Amino acid sequence: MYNISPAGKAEGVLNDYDLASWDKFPTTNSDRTGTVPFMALDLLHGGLDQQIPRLYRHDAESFVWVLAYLTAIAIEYKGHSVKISRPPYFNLWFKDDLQPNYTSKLALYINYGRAFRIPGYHAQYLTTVRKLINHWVELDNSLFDMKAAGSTEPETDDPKGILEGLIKLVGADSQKGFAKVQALLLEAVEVPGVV
Amino acid sequence: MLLWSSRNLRSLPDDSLWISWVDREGVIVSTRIGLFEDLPLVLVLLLVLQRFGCRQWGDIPELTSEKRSILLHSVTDDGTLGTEEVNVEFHPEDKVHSGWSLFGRATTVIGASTGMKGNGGPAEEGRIGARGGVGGDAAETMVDGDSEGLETDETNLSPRDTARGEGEEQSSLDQARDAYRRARDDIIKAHDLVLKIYWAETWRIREWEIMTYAQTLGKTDKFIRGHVPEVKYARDFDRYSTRHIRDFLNLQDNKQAGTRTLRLVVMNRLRPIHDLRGEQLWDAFWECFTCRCFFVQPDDHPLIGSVRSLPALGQWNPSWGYQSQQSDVQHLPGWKSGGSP
Repeated sequence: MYNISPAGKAEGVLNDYDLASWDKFPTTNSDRTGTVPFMALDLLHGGLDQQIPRLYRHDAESFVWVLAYLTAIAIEYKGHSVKISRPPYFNLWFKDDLQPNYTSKLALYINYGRAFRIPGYHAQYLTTVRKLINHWVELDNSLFDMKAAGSTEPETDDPKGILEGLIKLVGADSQKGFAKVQALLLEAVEVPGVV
Repeated sequence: MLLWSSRNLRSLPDDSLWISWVDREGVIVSTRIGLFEDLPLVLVLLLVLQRFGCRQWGDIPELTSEKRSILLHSVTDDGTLGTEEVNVEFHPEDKVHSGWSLFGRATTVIGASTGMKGNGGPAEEGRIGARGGVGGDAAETMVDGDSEGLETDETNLSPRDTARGEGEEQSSLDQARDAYRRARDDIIKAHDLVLKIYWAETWRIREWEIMTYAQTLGKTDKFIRGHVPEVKYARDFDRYSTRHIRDFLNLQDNKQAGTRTLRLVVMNRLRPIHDLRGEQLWDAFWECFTCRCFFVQPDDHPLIGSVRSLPALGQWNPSWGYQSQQSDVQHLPGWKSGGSP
């Protein structure tokens, strides 16, 4: 969601806290919370019944699926209503079956901008979004390989590492919007000179 | 109205009868009742059902579309609820979000107003301006998941191809977008709040407590300031809690697990991010992303100082009121009511 500031600027607003919880809170149910269409790869893989600890990186990854979706949808204004049309490719994300959702996300790096159009006003971010998608797919690949190799070591949450990874990713590109995001993330992580 | 708790009788074509109680937590099914062998019980049941009022059938009289207003409590700066009641007008025809379902949260969000704010003035309260149309037509959002219209024709176009022709269509698209935005502005002027109605799990931290704390962090943190909704009023309606029937039937060992209660939260009205595009969308999106960065575990990461992070439960400052109000989390294992942080 967004709000318009007194200065007239559109400000992003993080909404919907009814499923938020304090860290270290001993949860009493085993429900997987989250929005399935934008759920992180390793949460999707294997179904919702898996007891996978929720990490910051899951939310960071979900942001990227949301970004890919937001930059791909077409919007049609009809009088006082707005019609959002998502490319058919994304329909798999909204089905009950999680496996097509998982595999279509894995393949989105290739298909983003090819299997469906990206509106012209978002075309400048196409490479950026692709890189972000690839970042998470590669991470999922490495996790998958580790599990396949028999690793059972529990993963620790590492928000700083996640942010530093994104800074490196966006810092290596010169596309419009990258510099601003990089500066924002650098300030957020408070580790100047990471890149 | 928008909310109900459905309860019904299920019968099979023989002399057997079961009673099913369906609420947001799940279904409770009685043992078999024989129409003839348990005839006295069946007659009593019929007499009881005959005397059911609307509330017993699941209606929530506080949220009728005729009444259109409800008394809630102000959310104070420390995340507690004030004692005074505030009348909040709600507008069911101004639907913002509807997550209809028999079970679970079933979140519904509709436009609301208090009649106390300066936005638009009292004359505009509860009314959507002429440009906004009437009722639910005001600024409806439709999501077309299997669209054949907008996308399919262009599925095979490359980004380079699609960039061509954007300019030709831009003018009419912009006009339509401007008209839609004006309509939305009218609605927001008239209904500058939203009422979120849902069935919250009572073991979770209350939403308004987290939001108020985030607002407090935002006073000193630019990554949060302006990027968290303002929570205004709230109330839990424990009388509709799913625990009552289960307590009565002694069905649950863990009294907290799964219990849901009717929760109403009023916040300032936001605009859907898909209304933005290009650089505006990009910037707003990353503002949300960096805001989320600070809602992480405080202790284990040098990234986040304790001031910037939502606290772990055990470090909760007593001034935040877990001791001063009845809180669901006090009943959780490992949490001692009144304990010092």
